[in-house]
Amino acid sequence: MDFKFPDLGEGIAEGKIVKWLVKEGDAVKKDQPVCQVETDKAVVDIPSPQAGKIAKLFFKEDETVHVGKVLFTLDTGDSPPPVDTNQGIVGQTSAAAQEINFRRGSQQTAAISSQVKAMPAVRKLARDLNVDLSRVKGSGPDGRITEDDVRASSKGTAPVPSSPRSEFPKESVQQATGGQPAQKSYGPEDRVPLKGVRAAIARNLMRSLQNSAQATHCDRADVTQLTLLREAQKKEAESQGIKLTVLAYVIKAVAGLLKSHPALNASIDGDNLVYKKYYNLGVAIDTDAGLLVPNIKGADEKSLFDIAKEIKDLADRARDRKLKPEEMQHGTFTLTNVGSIGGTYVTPIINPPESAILGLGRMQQEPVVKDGKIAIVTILYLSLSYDHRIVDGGPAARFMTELVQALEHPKF
Amino acid sequence: MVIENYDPLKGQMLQVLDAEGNLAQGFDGVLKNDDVLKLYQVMTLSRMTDKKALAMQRQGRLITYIPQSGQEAAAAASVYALTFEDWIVPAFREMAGWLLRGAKLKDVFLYLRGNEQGSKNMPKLRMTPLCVPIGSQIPHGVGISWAQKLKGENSITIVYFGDGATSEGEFHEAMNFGGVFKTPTIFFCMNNQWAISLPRSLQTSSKTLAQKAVAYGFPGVLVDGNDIFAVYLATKEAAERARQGKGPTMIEAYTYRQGPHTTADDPRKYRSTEEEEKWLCKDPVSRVRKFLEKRDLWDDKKQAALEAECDKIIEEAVAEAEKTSYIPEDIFKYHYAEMPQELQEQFEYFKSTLGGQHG
Repeated sequence: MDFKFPDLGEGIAEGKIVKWLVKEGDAVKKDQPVCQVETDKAVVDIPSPQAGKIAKLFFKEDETVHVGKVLFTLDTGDSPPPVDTNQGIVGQTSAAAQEINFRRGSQQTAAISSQVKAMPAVRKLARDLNVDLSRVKGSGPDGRITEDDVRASSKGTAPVPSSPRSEFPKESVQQATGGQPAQKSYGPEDRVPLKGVRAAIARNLMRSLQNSAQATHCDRADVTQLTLLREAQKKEAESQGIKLTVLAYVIKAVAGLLKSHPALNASIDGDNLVYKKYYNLGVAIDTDAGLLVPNIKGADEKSLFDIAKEIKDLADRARDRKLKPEEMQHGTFTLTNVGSIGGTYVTPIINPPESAILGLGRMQQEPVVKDGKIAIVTILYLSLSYDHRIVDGGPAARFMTELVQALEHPKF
Repeated sequence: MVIENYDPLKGQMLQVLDAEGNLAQGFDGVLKNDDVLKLYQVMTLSRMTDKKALAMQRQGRLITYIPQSGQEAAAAASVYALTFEDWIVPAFREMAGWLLRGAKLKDVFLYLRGNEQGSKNMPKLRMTPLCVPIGSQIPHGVGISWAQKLKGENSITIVYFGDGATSEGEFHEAMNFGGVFKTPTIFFCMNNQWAISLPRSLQTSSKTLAQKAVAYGFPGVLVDGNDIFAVYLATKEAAERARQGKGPTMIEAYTYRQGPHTTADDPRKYRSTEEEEKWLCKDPVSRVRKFLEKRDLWDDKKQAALEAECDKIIEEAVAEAEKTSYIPEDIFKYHYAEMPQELQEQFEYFKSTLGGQHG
């Protein structure tokens, strides 16, 4: 018989073999300990369910065994004992439970369209406001209808006949207030459904803030030299039809630095840190529909001019809503140049699952103390938000310092 | 009168049978030899079942298990002091007591395999089902005993709970109610020193748990919970007080949980082996055996025969429980008055997935 590794402690998924107390070929008694296993809760002895001979051990010491996997096989001699069919029942149940979870997910999706999910208080409100809940799309978890959904849909919605699936009896719909429901708002306002790009942005940024530990490191770079360099290179670029921006220089500099700062080009996947060996640098584009973030694939291998050209191309197509989905996927680091509009330091939100985002502030002339004298230089404000789960403050500061160095002494 | 003579506020604890199996003078006849033999047998059955159940959980044959070892004396002797008319409201670590009352081992295993049918016979035995949420059964016990009083019955109720439960609101509400209405209740606290990983010293700054009864206006008594004589005497007297209309008594049985809290924790992570070994010397089962051997009532041969018999009872109960398949309809059936469509669908799916194979 196969002995499957059971769920030893109310929901564990795996255990580590600490020690085998028997070896292959050993005779064991019923309930004799066969091995010690360490779970995240305890170190426990696993006893043999039957008397017999250990035929095979499937895992070595220090190896991890998952619930439901065969741990060892036991040769019980002649006819299989009646209890045999019951072995590993927990393993079976656990597999079945996973399937239930899976099915449950799909059933729930289906249920959203066919069944109303709303708390009693919301149902009461719907009755009061004469709203047919079966016509309301829920914005809450699992499609639950919230009070706001009911209020939003009661405004300007003529009472509709109760559908057969309606959760409350018809008479209660009819007994509702009848006239226009009272709206508890202070003054005139527009109510616009949260949808499309706006809804995607809202989801994505909430996900970012809720699932990572974000901190922001700020610094400023004297880009006087860089602006001079740009003036020198601008003409050549223009002759090729390229608009050379400071952003292109910054992207080029960042792409070069990320290789020696792998934590800033990383993400967390389950229990793993993923350090990416590709450098797809996203650029936040402000469009009428909202923020879009296409990325420059393999920015580390592209020339300054190619980067500048690609920024323009992506930005234009973003504003025309002509980006392909893959152009917005698989980014590894993002830059946002809000300074072209205004502002100094910003606290950008990381574009998940990335580990950092660099915000560029305004570029402006400022007096600074340089070599003991006051000089007028061009300053660029830089803000780096990073996921502190992956990047510590020290490495973030080192990255920023090196970036400032690179921008202050441009070698492009 | 042991209850009056042992003041928990002075830290006095009733002990009759010491760890070496010596009986204190003047207590002969409290339990007759046959009584002690019977208690020893049921405590042994409970101890061996405990070992088996723990192994079965590690083999994936029980969902979870609540180890009993070390508390057999408190469980068995307290039930032994009652009549079959009295109600038992268990927590979950009184197996020896349930078995004395007549609970079938098969039912115990059914329950531990997640089959609610294992609790079906409990009410016939005047027992409520096991109560996992800590302390929630204490008001039930007081409620049952109040009903007994209102109906003019001569029976009483014993309700079990642990040291951890004394920090729950239900404990205090129930104790207060019992005191005010003089209900025929025995509040039986199994102080096994550990509420999962929380030691008794951090549970309350009261010197004893038994003294908490004082604040509610009825007596509390601290007894050696590993001593069947002490537990029996105190419970017998508390039951008499209750029957005479004198109201509740709280008994603190000072004992020790030798194993983990359940199968999901590791005591080595929160207590020392020295402490465990110290308590093993006070083991309640071997203490009774020593007593019996001193009186030439027991020997190795009898022990071997008893163990063989217990093993047979246990294996039969396990086999019966394991071949009992069922569909846990109750989960779906009793949530609403009528099963709504969503639950109906889930139930159908559940049946089709597990095909009645569930333990």
